[in-house]
Amino acid sequence: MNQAGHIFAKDTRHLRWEIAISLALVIAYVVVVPAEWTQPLEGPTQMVRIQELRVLAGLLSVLMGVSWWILITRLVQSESLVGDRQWWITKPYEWSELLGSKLLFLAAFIGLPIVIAKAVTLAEAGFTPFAHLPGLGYSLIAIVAFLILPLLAIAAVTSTFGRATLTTLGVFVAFIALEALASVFVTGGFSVDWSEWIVLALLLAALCSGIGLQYARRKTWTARVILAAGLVLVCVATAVAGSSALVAMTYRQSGSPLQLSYNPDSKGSSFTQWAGRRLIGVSVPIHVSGIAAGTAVDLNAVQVTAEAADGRRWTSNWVPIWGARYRAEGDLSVAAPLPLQFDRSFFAAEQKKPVTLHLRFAVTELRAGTPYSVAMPKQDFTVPGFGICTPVDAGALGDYTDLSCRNALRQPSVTFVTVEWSNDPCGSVGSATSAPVAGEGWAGTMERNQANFGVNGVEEVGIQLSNNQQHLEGQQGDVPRHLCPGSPITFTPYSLSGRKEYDVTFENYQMPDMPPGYHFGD
Amino acid sequence: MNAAIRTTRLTKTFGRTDALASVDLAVPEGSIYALVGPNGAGKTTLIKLAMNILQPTAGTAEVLGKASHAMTGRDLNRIGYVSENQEYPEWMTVGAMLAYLRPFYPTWDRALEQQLMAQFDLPPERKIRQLSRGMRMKAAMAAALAFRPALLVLDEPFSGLDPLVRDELIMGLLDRSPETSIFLSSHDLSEIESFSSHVGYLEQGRLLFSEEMTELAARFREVTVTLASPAAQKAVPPQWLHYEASDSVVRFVHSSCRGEQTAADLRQMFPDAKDIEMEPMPLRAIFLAVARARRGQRVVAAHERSQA
Repeated sequence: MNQAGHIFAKDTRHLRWEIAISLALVIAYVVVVPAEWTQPLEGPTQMVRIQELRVLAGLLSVLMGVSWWILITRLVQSESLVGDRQWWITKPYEWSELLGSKLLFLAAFIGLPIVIAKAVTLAEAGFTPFAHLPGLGYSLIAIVAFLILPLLAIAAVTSTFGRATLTTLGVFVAFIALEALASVFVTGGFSVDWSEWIVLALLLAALCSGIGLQYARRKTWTARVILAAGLVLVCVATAVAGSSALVAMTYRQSGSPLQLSYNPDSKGSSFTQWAGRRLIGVSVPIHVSGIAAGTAVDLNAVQVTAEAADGRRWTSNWVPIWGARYRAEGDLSVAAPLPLQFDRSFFAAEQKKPVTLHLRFAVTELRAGTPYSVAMPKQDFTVPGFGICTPVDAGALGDYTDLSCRNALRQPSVTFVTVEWSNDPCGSVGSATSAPVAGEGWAGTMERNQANFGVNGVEEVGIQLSNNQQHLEGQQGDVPRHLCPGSPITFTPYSLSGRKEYDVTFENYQMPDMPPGYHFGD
Repeated sequence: MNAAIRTTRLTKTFGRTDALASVDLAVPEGSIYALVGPNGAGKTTLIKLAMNILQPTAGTAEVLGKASHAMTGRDLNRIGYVSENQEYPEWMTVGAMLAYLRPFYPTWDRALEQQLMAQFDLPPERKIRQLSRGMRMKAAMAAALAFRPALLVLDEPFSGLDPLVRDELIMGLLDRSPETSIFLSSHDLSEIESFSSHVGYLEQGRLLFSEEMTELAARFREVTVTLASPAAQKAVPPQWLHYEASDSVVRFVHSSCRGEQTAADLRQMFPDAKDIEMEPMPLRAIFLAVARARRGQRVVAAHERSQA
């Protein structure tokens, strides 16, 4: 047996209880999670039980994370790389074999169980795991990069479990703090999506260099500096990912007929959403029109330059806009609240005065694909490229009120879903009193990730269908409408057409008041 | 002379502290070399530099012909190492530890392993965390000897051990010599005197001497000169340590004695000597003499510096 295999066998013997606990948690998770899909979604009792299973699955996820952390730290520190009194450093260990044995161990007892668990959950959810091997591979790389290697690196540059624990907490707090600082001062929370690959590459480079150096030379302080520099670089990359330069590189200026205009009258006027120490968040209603037929637009982010009458200017960071996706069909002139940010002092100084807003929008353009239509079945049905959907029966048997969809490993690409609601319960003979009501909603994402992170291979696909509730005379509150078997459902997939920047100017904009309870002196 | 370990101007500093100052040392192959010196003299630092556990600030160390800083794991399969303050795999049993180490060493000798287990009376099923200090050292020694190393490096191996265990370990070492070169450090002179072939004396990071034990023993003599008349004041050669003259008796430690030649020189220097005695010194007395002389020199130097 080579050295790596020999060390691996020793570690397996030594950490057999930690391994057993870790595997037991993964197995428990794999048993608990698929119940959501394998059991019929019928009745309130069943829905409560599913909620309980979700809580249990969440708890198991946390325990799995803790068990991996303990396993990795104990594994690495069984041949501690810090200090000069360790027994093993005077034995004929080859560093590459030692590192190889540790990686083999992590692959065998963390990586492989995760991949198997994902495959099992995929199979339980009705997917074919072998059809998703690239996604499973990507998922494994993500777990290695974001979970295994960081914990391995921390264990490699600390001498005891206690120190590793403190360092892990310290790194976590530092990362959150740096990200928050970057978000406030540099990015405004938005980043171009391909920056994730840069972050991943930087993270992998720093972790591999730090770990490799520590195993090859046991230069603990140099390794620590490399890892800390990697952390800072990742934060810098995240910060830069929302910079004007990168946004400009990603979203090209365009002369498209898309129209974005200030619309104070449609859905309420402009109002202040929140007030921070530096910034004030303001919601501004706008009209979106001019979307070409067969396309949709996704307003990803906005940057505002406010110009006062005296020429003073203030420019915000790029701020993300959530859920602002519009299509040409239907209402061609839609209203949307736009989240803008202003400097607090500028906001205070320009109260009650007209200002000019120069807005830059980062917009993703989407092209509609071939729609897939299906008559609502009574059981699970597969939508090509979207996933598997299950009719949800929240009340009496056979009376469906919603769709629950899931996809393998990741969210599907952006899809527009339309349904026809019935005001009456399904199967109520002779009681149909009204025409069907159209419902629609977006699902999916444009993110390029090949797979999700974690043990569950199945992604729940959220669809918020409009008009899903109705108000009945004499009843308190709204009641759900019904998705009756045989009614048409259409899934229209959208693909990326381009990323564009649109510039708009709103003249004579008036800053809203501060929200109640806030004062400029706060 | 082939050297199992050779250091050249080996220097190590920790911050502003000089742990080792330009040490030149050679451990001949097949020898049992004892590096002695008080606590904090730099013995462990020198050993760790030789074993590539620490990196030198300056100078080089060669072990079995290879620069220590370039040593890889493969080079360690000819070197056994035992230290009093090593962290052992506490969860392993003695038998499991030896079984685990076996495949690392191509020259591991199962028969010798069994012999050492019996010789040291080691319980194979007992976990290392349950062993006494002496048993732990014996287990470590068995692990370090069972592959018939070309070089055995021992850092304070007998420290705190009872005489019985110490003798067992020494017997184990002597059984391996001269097949194995042995380099050990100790601050207890009496324990190494009986079996070391070479000795080096390290103090405050400086190697004061390094030579064969027999030469050292021959070189140092406690000299007592009985004179017919009170001794006159005279210049004392530097190789005379602790020179004392009282009435008609002169006493000192001669650090460069050459037998009859020295006796003849002394008779020439003390023409009215009635008797000249040159007694051999135990190792402990030699080191005490050297250490006190060094301390005296430092006091004088410090005094001169303060005067300047």
